[in-house]
Amino acid sequence: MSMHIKVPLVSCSEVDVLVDAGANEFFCAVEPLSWRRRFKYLNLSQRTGRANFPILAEFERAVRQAHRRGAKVHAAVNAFFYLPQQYKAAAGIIEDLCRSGADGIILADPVLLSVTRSSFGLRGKEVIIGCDAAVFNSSSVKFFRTLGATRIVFPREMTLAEMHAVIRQDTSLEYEAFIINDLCFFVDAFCAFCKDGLQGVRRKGRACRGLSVFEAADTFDRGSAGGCRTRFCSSRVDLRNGRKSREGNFSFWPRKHIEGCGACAVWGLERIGVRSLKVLDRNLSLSDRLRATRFVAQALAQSSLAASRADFQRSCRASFRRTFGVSCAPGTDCYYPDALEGAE
Amino acid sequence: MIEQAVHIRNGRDLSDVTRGRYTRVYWGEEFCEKRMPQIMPTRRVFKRASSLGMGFTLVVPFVTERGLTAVLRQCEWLAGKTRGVELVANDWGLIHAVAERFPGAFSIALGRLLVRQQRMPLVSMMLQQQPPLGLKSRDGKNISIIFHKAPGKICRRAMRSSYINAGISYSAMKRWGIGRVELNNVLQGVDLEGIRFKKSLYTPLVHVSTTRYCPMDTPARRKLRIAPCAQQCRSYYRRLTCPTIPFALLKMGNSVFYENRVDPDRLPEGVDRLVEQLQGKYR
Repeated sequence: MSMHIKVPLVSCSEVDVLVDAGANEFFCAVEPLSWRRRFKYLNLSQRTGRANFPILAEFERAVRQAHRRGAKVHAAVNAFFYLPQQYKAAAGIIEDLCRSGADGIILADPVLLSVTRSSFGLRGKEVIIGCDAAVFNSSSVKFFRTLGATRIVFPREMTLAEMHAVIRQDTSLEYEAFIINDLCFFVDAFCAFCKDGLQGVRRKGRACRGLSVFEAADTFDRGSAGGCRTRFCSSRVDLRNGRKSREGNFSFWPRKHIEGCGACAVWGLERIGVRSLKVLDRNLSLSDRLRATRFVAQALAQSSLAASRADFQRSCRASFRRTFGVSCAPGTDCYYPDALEGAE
Repeated sequence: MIEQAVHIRNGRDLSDVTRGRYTRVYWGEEFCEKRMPQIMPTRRVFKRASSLGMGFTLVVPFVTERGLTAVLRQCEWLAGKTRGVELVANDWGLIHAVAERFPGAFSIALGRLLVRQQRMPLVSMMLQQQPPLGLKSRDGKNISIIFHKAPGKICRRAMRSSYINAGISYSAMKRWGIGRVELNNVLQGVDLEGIRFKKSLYTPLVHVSTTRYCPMDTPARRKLRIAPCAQQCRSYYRRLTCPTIPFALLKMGNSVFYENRVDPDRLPEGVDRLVEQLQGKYR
């Protein structure tokens, strides 16, 4: 069975070009006005503003178009968590999404999944457990399967060997892995650095003589905003004697060329039984998403043609250089560094 | 009456818990599978706690397939010893496996990783008005002015609460065998309204984030993110400061924390257990 490429979708008009670039599946989210009015910055999914469909009717059109082109659409309702009063509203939106033709729902909160199942059921729909549910072992797979899961998205921090150990235990479910963009240093599900749910920045009125006024609930200047990409001053504290020594600057992130790539691991992912490769993220421009999708589609094609893993990885790196205009930096940009070491 | 518990990660620290101040020992690792104790030290700590008449709580992190096997081996031994041992689990799979394999043998507490509080260091600052911030665009011509808007009532509540405040969470988690939640003493305060679980509050470390690419080793290895673990976290930690955050972040092993000590006189109503982490000895 060939692997699918899952691509972010933020508008109905993007369906055709993304399918032509190689997408077989889409993921997206709808954040209706009723939700935004009521809950302001508390998002329904992991992304804010323009990364979501604003109205259900447009989502419905996108689903119809995707189905015409033979692609599936999965809708994300995967916020970090929901408040008591949000659960009912979120379950209602899931019901609307299912009625609008969504092929599946991406969830991260087992409580929401449990509520949704008991209120109207998700029969006939795919239930995708997102990376924020932190499925690191086969027992977690079993737990979510009892709640109705049909597909698991592996956290991006897992190695190929760890994924393989999970898949071996249960081949009845589908598995999905991240392949390009949005590589993060911390475990999504356990990180409070970026997921404060208050990152909305809204323009107030139109720009006037080059001056725009925004309203924000958060500052976002990269490098100093107190998030995980901040450049810190570091000192080292010895636990034996409490002695402190200054170390200089510290950053969790080394310099990266692009926002993460796991194409070299396609060879391994295909062989361990991963069904779908996920291109991220919904905030990127269409041209960036198209470029990434074409690159992954090319990697998939190369994987079936290459004589060996080494051959495949060589051609993959050449393709990376052609596509992104920079040489791949093993380690720095890697989603799955172990794929380069033969650890799978 | 508040139960006083102490969290230790090293058998040597057991000597500190014999002074009668604490009535329960939390034993184990919350965030890193590689630092999980072996079964022999667990046996020693369990026996010592039992002989002192103290309660015993096994703390376990999120686990891969390999870690799961190791944890279940410890659970099997504990289940054979006594009923009602407490288990702080930070992995849905582990909660499921324990409930399925050892029904009724463990009281399960939802670990800090799964409680999902808003722990971002800047949250408390976001609650206050900030001056506007001017940003130049890349071409240097256009300027955007960002006004900080203090969040509304619903956002303020969200910053102090989590999904465990919802009644439906309690019903669902009760079915999964969860009866207690472990809470960070976050700077902006903890909203306990609606939480029907028993509640433990940790002091002084508030968990911010966890990674699997352990940043404790040399920069070159950190860059590759597949560094072999030499347990450097047992010998040192890092204090990280930046002008935006008015306090230091502590990078201990694969996790980041900040300090916010619980004032015993101003303990939130409803908390029935205080878990003290032996800082300084937090190795």
